[in-house]
Amino acid sequence: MTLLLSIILLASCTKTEIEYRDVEVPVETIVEKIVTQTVTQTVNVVTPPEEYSFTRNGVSTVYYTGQSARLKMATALKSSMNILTSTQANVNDMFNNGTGFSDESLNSSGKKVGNKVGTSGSATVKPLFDGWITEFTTIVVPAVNNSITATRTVAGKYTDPSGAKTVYVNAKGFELNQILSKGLIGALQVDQIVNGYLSFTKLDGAKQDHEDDIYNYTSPGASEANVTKMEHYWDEGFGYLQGLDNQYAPGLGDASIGRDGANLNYYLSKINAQEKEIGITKRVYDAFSAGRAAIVAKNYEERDLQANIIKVELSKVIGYKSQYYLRKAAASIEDVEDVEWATALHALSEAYGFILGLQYTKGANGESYLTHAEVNEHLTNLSAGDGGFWDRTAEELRTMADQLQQSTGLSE
Amino acid sequence: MKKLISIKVVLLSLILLNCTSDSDTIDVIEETELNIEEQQTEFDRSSMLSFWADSIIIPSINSFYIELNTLNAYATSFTSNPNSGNLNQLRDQWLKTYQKWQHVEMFDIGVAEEIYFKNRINIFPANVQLIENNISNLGFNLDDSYNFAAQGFAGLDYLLFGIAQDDDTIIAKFSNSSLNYDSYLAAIISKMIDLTISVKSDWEGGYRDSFIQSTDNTATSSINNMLNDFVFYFEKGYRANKFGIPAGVFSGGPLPDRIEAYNGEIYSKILALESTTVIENFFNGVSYNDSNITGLSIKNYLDFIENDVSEKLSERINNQLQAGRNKIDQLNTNFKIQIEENNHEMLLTYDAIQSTVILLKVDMLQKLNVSVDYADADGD
Repeated sequence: MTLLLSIILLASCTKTEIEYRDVEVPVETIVEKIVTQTVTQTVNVVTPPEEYSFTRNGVSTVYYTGQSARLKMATALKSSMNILTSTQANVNDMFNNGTGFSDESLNSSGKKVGNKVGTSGSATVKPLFDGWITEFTTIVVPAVNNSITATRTVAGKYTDPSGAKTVYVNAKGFELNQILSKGLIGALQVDQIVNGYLSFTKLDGAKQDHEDDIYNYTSPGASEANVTKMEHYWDEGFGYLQGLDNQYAPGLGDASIGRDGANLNYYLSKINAQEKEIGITKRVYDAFSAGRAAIVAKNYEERDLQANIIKVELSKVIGYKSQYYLRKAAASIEDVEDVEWATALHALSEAYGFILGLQYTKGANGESYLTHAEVNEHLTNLSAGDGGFWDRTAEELRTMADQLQQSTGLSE
Repeated sequence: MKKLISIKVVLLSLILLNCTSDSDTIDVIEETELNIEEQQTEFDRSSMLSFWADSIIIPSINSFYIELNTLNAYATSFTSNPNSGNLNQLRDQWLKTYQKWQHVEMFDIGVAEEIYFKNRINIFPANVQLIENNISNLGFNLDDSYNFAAQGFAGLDYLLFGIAQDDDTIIAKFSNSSLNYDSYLAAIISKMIDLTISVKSDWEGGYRDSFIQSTDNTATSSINNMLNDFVFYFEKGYRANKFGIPAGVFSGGPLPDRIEAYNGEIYSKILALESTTVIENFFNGVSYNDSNITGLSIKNYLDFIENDVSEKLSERINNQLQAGRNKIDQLNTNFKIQIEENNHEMLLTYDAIQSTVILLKVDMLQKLNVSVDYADADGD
């Protein structure tokens, strides 16, 4: 085999002379694939901004009204699932049709919670929520309105002997507004952020448009499209956490203008108070800011790095809380002489909802803490027997919490 | 396996000559590309396209066309002599033709795409109100997109099973020519034949050749289009239309009246299984006319790319397709009853199918370096 080398020699002095020569050189057929390559790479250095603030031509490109609307809906659904005038038709409208809220702006928002529930995973999860709505409005509400006292296998109202806590529960002791609300933290918020908007598939699917500076969205205050798909997806992910709070600061917003009191950011802030996780709200917020800045700088590696921080940190909320409420319930029923059942059922319902969400998490190894099937197994165990929650012992609950501690690698 | 090693040798000759007067530096860059052909080359995409066209697509369309003509003949028998024997003969043929259609719907390419073939042959559920209006007014135009939901198999499903509660009444309605059911039946079938002739002639004309010659991997190439059609069909035509929508995955609750062949009741599962076979066969390159004959396929293409991978994506896809089929096998013959009595099983079937969507749409297309050419609804 021969290799043809064209060598151009330029000789030049005061008069320019160019001489071309073709030289045939015999070459050994052994070709070593050691290729020294000089790669010129533009590294887009990202300076993480102090706050989640991004503009184009002086206009903010950040908006997430759809997410704020859904978080308001989730909050209202939680209340409606504990109100004795709620009907199946009304709560179903709120959940599946995005109507029937007392806040008129929600009714006209065109957004719904129902069609965003558990979309990355099994289609069997969303109907659970429909079932809880039906159960509360058609079984629990009539029972409580008929002044039935709840007990094992009987739906109704139960108040602790101390009078400190009252719950409306079904025959298995499910406080359905807690199950639904905590369920939404995982199946709506964490799922939409972790497996939806911040997923590689979603973000990278918008890469070409982003590279080409194609603007698909128009932010409020802009006269023409000024936001790329990738930027907006990221903002929507941010909105699913921060949608009821302050865009420009981590954690919960100012109480005087309303803030999250029931959803993911509320529980993230609770985790922030735990000794081991102090600063988690800021870590998440800063990662959102740095990732968004990386998108603007078209540095996708950095983007994915920050996305991963967010996914792992937010997943911890579900991981910690699912165990925490099991242990809390265990403590309430420990003393068999003085069981605070309302407190225990309340905590178990919270645990049930959070455990449901474990299938939507992402641990440090990139996998969810538990698979769909594993979650179902835990939920079945937690609600086993005709009495469901009423049948649990403190020991059983602690064993379950220990198992979850094992699966999540998290401990208080 | 043959491979192409392409080594780009870049020779940089930099000769600097410092001259007193005109120029300071002269850069001469010479690039020589050197292709060393060690054995041979790349996946034979041209053969795969030929196999698709000649052994799967064209035979499927021809077979569908033949059954349509028989359907037409039996419809004529029935309308000229409406009795239960002729009605059942027509219904059997309707099912047979519907099964053949499952082999055609995926190939939404060429003329088929231009004339909205799949939207006109198999949009379901049928718009019953529209059909009844058309029948009583007779001033309808089936080419109007407004009427897409008033024709095709779902339209026939309504005419043959749904216009009355029992067979005697259905036969009576067809017996009374002034009611126009007979002429509407003929019009629908005639339109299906016309549309099929357009698609068939397209393939038999120049389209087949241009299809198999387009071997590049560009947004408009045949392979790219076909892979997108395959994934789109799997996601929408198969997963969503046959399972997800009736099971209520995209709505507040289940919608059992959205199953395929709703009025016929007992055919939804048969059609879904047929469609499963079509998908498996296309993925694995099984000839339409003889299932013992195989040709180059997506599976081969993936395996070629994953030559050095032990746990092959193609195997995971085939296993997941099988898992979906196993789920479907367990369902009630009538999906409507399945949904009404135990929708959970329907949703688990959907889950199994959805797992394949991820393998096809994300993993497979990434491996084959093909971009998805259709958009998902973003929601907000």
